[in-house]
Amino acid sequence: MRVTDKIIQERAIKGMEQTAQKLSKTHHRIATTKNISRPSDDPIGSSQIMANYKDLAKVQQTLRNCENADNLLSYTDTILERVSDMLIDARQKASVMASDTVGSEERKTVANEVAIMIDQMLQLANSQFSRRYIFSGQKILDTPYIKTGDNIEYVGDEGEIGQRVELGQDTMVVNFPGSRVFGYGTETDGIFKVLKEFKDALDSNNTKEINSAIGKIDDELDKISIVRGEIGVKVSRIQSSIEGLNSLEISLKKDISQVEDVDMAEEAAQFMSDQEAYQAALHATATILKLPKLSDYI
Amino acid sequence: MSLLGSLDIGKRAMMNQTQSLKITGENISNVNTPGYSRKRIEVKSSIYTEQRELNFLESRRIRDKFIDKGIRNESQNLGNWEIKSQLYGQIERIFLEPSENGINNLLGEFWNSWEDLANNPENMTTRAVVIQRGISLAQSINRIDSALKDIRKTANDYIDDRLELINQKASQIANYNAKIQSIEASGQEASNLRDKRDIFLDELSKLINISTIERDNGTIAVFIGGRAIVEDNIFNPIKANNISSGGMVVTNLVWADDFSKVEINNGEIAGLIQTRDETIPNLIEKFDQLSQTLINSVNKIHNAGFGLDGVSGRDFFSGTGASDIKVNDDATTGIVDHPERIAASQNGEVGNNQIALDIAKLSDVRVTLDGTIIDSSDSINISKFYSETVNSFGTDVKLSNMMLESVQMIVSDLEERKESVSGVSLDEEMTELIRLQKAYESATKYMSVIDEMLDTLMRIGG
Repeated sequence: MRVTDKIIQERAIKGMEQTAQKLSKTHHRIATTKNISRPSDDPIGSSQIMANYKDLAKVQQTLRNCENADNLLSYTDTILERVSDMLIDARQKASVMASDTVGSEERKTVANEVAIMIDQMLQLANSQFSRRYIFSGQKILDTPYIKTGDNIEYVGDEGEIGQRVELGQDTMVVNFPGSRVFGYGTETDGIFKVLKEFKDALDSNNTKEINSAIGKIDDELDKISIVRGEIGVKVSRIQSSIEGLNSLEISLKKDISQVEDVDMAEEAAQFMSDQEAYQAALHATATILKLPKLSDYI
Repeated sequence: MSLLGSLDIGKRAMMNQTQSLKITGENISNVNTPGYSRKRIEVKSSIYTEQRELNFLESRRIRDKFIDKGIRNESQNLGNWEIKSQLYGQIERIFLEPSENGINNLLGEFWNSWEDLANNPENMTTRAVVIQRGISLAQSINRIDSALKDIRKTANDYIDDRLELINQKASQIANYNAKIQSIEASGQEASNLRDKRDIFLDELSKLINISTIERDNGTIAVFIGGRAIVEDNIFNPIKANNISSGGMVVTNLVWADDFSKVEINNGEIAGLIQTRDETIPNLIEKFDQLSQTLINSVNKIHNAGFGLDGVSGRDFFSGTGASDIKVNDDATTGIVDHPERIAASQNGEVGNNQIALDIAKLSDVRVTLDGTIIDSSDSINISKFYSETVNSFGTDVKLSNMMLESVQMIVSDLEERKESVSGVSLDEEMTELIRLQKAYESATKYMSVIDEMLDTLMRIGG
C-alpha cells in the first residue's frame, strides 16, 4: 500500500484517541467504583441489578415490618405477664379467703384490695403502644374498656390487624382484641366479671362464692396463657423470618456488588497498562511526526 | 529529419518537463487540502512522427471510483448510526438508571411507604411520607416524559437543518455539473471542480440515501429513492411538509414539484426520522402505559378504602398518562395537603390497614391497564415492565454504539484506501521533482548539442 503523509498523521491521531478513550473509560470506572453506570454498559447486568435492588428494598421493608410486629407483640406479652401475675395474686387471695377461719372483717379488707386490683387490671387492658391501644381491635385510637360506676364495658371491636412479616403476600395477625383477653366486661364475662364477682363474694362474706371464684380465676389464667402461647409462636416465627431475611439481604448485596462494583485491583492494573499504552502512543506519534523527509537530504 | 526539426523536439521536451513540474508543484501545495486528489501527467514520451506531431501532455487526477462508491454507501450507514447513537445516548441518560434517583428505586420506596403506613395507619408522619413518595415518583415520570418530548423536538429541528443542507449541497452539485460539462467539452479534465463536487457528494451521502450515475458528458446524476434530485445541471429541490403527529408538528420531506413523499431509508435523515417517529413515541407510549396502570391500579384499591375522616371514594393519583400523572391535588378530594385523606382502612376503622397492604402488594402482582389484578397476557408487573423498558432500550443503545463503531472502522479503512490512492506523498513528489529536474537538464543539454551541431554545420558553409 502507498503510504502518504496524511495516512501517517491520521493513524497517529487515531492511535492517540483510542488509547486516551480507553484510559478515560478505566478512569471513569475507578472514579465511580461502578462497572455499570448506564443500562447500555451491560443491559443484562443492569436489569439484574435493578431486580436485585427491588428485592433488596422489599427485604429491608419486610425487616422493618418484622421489627414493628416484634415490638408490638413483645409489648403485648409484657402486659399479659402482668395480667397473669395479678390473676395468680387474686387466686392466692381467694384460696386464703375461702377458709372458714377467715372473718368477715378480713374479707372486707381483701375486697378493697380486689377493687384496687380491678382498677389496675383496667389500666393494663387500656395499655397503649406508641399511642395506639393494643387491646381495642381495629379501633386503635379508642380506649377499649370504659368504666361507668362499678361497671366496666368493652367498646373495642373484634378487628384483626395484619402485617407482612415474611416475603410473599401473606400477613400475620399482630393484635389481640380485648374481648379475647379480658372479655366483654363486668356484666358479661371475662376477667372483670370474675374479679367483680370475687369482690362481691368477699363483701357479702359468701364462702361458697369465694370457692367458685377460684375455679373461674383459673379459667381466666388458662385463657391468658393460651394467648401468650400464641404470641410466643408468632414471635419465634418473626425471629426465624428475620434470620432468613438478614442472610438474604447479605446475599443480595453481594450479588449486586459482584455485578455492579468494579474489581479495584484489576482496574488499577488496567489503568496502569492503559496509561503505558497512552504514553507509548504519544511517544510513537512524536517520533513519527519528526521523521525526516526526503527533502531534508536533498 | 532536419536538425531544425530536432530543435522543436528539444523545445517540446523542455515544455513537457515544465508542465509536469507545475503539476508536481500543485500536488505539493495541496498536500493538506481536504478532498484534493493528486494529479499525474499522462507521460507519453515525445515521439517525432511522420506528421511531425508532438504529444501534448494532459494532467489527470488519480482516483478510484469503486472506493468512492464504497465510501458513499458506507457514509449513509455512518450518518444513520452516528445520529442514532448520539440521540440514543441522550435518551438513555434521562432514565438515571441504575441509581437512587431512577424510577426503579422510587417505585420501591413508594410501595414500601404503603407498608410503613400499614404498620402505623394512624401516624400522620407515615401518611405524609406516602404522599412525598407518590409525588417524587409522579414527578420523575413527568420529567422523563417531557425530556423524551424535548429530544423528539430536537430530532425534528435536526431534520429541518439537514433538509436545508441537502438542498444546498444538491444545488451545488448541479452547479458543478454545469461547469464541469462546459470545461470538459474541450477535452481537458476539470480536475479541481471534480474534487469539489466529490466532496459535496460525500457530504450529501452522509445525510441521506443517494445513488449516483456518472454520465458521458462528465455530469453526475444523483437519485434519492429512484427520483433524481440532480440531473445534468438541473436541481430538483425537496421541501418540508409539516404535519401533526403525536402531539407535535413534525417535518416530512416531499419533492417540491409534486409533493410526493421522498423515499428515505438511510443517512442521518433516516436515523433522525426513526428516532423521532418510532423510538421516542414507543418509549413515550410505554411510560404512558406504565403511568395509566399505576394510576388505575392504585386508585381502584384506594377508592374502596376510607380515610381517617371516614370518607371513601377518593383517588390517590390523578392524571391520564406520563405527562400529567400526579398525586391528587383536587380542592375537595385531594390527598396532597391532606394526609388524613389517605385511605388505609377497608372498613373505616383506624387500625384497619387492609387497603395499605393491598396497595403495597401491587409491587408484586400483574395488573391490566384499567387496574385489574390478573395474571394475563395484557397485564404487567409495573416494576418489571419499567425495568424491561429501560434495559431493552439499553440493548438498543449498545447495539447502535456497536454498529457505529463497526461502520466507523469500515469508513476509516475506505478513507485510508482512498488516501492511499489519491493522497499526496511528499517523498514521492520530491522524487518526481528531481526526476523532472534531471529530465529538464537533459533536454537543455540536448538543445545545446543540437545548437553546437548547427554551429558546426554553419561553419562548413562559412
